[in-house]
Amino acid sequence: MLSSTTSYTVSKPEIIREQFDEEVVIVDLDTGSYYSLSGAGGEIWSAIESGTPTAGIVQQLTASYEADAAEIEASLGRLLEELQTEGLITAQDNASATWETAVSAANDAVKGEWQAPLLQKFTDMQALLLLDPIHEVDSAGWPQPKPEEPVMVEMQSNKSV
Amino acid sequence: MPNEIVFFNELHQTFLDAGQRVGTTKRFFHIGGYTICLQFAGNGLESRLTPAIEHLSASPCNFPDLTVCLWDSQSTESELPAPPWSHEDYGVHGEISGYNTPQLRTAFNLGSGVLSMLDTQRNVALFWIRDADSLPIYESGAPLLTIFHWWMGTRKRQLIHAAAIGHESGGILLVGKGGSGKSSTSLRALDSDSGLLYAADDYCLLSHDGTPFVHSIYSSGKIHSKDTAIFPFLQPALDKSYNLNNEKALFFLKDHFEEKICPGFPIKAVVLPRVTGQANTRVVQASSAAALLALAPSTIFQLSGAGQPAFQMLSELVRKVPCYVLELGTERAQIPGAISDLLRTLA
Repeated sequence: MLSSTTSYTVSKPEIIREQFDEEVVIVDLDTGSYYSLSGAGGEIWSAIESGTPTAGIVQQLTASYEADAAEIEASLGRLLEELQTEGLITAQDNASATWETAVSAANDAVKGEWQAPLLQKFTDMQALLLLDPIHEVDSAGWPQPKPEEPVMVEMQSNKSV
Repeated sequence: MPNEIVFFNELHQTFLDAGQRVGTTKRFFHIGGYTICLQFAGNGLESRLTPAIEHLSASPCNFPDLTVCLWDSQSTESELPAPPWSHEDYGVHGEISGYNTPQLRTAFNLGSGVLSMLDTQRNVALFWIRDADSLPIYESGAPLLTIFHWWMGTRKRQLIHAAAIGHESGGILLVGKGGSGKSSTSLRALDSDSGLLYAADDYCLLSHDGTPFVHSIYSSGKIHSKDTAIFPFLQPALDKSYNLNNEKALFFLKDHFEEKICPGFPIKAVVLPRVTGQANTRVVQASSAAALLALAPSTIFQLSGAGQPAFQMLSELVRKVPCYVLELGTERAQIPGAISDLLRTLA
């Protein structure tokens, strides 16, 4: 059950994002993970960034989309959990009323087709953030290079979370 | 004077002393709209580092925008002073904690053993390796990547992980993961009569002075030795000194494809190659988000210190130009033609 007064913030400055009409691209500079958030995820991410509490997001989505409120709430709950598990957002229990403006604007619009939010996670860049161990140093203290050539960058482990 | 500047000056003096002892050579290159002087002490590194940028060779000048001092201890019989930092100070890209300030950038690549430093105020950089003979193949294929990334960033030039082909009037960026067909697509321009020119197959520079523009840096690359049969036209460009016992083959294009290499062009589109297994090649629209996913992470995470500014610049690019998927067919001869057709529609 979602807490209606909980709002969320982006967890840290190292999480950067670019929002397009249909999708949000999110990059975690600390971990090397990056994400595609599509469907209604873009609208939800905007609401999160604006500090809209959960109840406000639900109301905004039900006003915008042709879908059952329970279905929307369930999808939202799953996404918020995924975003928290990934460390992208942090919950705050301080409801605000700023979401009302967005709802009234949405009420005037034609309702769109509901597309559940989808968060896809990509981890293929994480290897680039692994620290090379220092095996040996010379007499002056400079590290000796690794004998073998580093592996070329390949993307392999993409998955939905 | 801050400790990090004192240490930079100490290393610079080591270079100057080595140059006094064994002699220096200066080479000039025009990269990203700037003149860069590579000053070598001794003869260990020049032949290994300049072939990849030979297509951008420039006339000597008295006041280059950047001077890079390059030497190795082995051939110059010089010793570096001990590093003033500890093992715990090495970051994931070799950047040294406490030695990266607004004025100074420092990284020691633990894979290659290359020390790179840049003084952004004096526009002087240092490139050192213990023994030039141990320089890895990737440093010859894409030399001075870290220093170029740092310094060009101070000139609103973003080093990016992408290939680029087109015409002087405009071309495309090819972006995507390793194995997506980015390099092979760009190399096919060399073997076609499509009129397409090559600017890059792995790394290039992006500028955004009103119009997105790609600048060539390297006219070199690597392919798996087992794939050399797929690119028979590259045979003359393969560097035999590197390829005898290595699983990857290094090639330098300038001496063999000079008329097909372009220093840069305006970017008309961002294109994501996809290997399909179908016979025919075709172009379909892609979202800006898909293009950013293909371009930004591999650029940001490969380069020391690239973060929000690089991401912002790449986001602006994919918003500004149309994005496409290039579905690569098995009839490889069609590929350059499909790109030429796309460029005609965007002219």
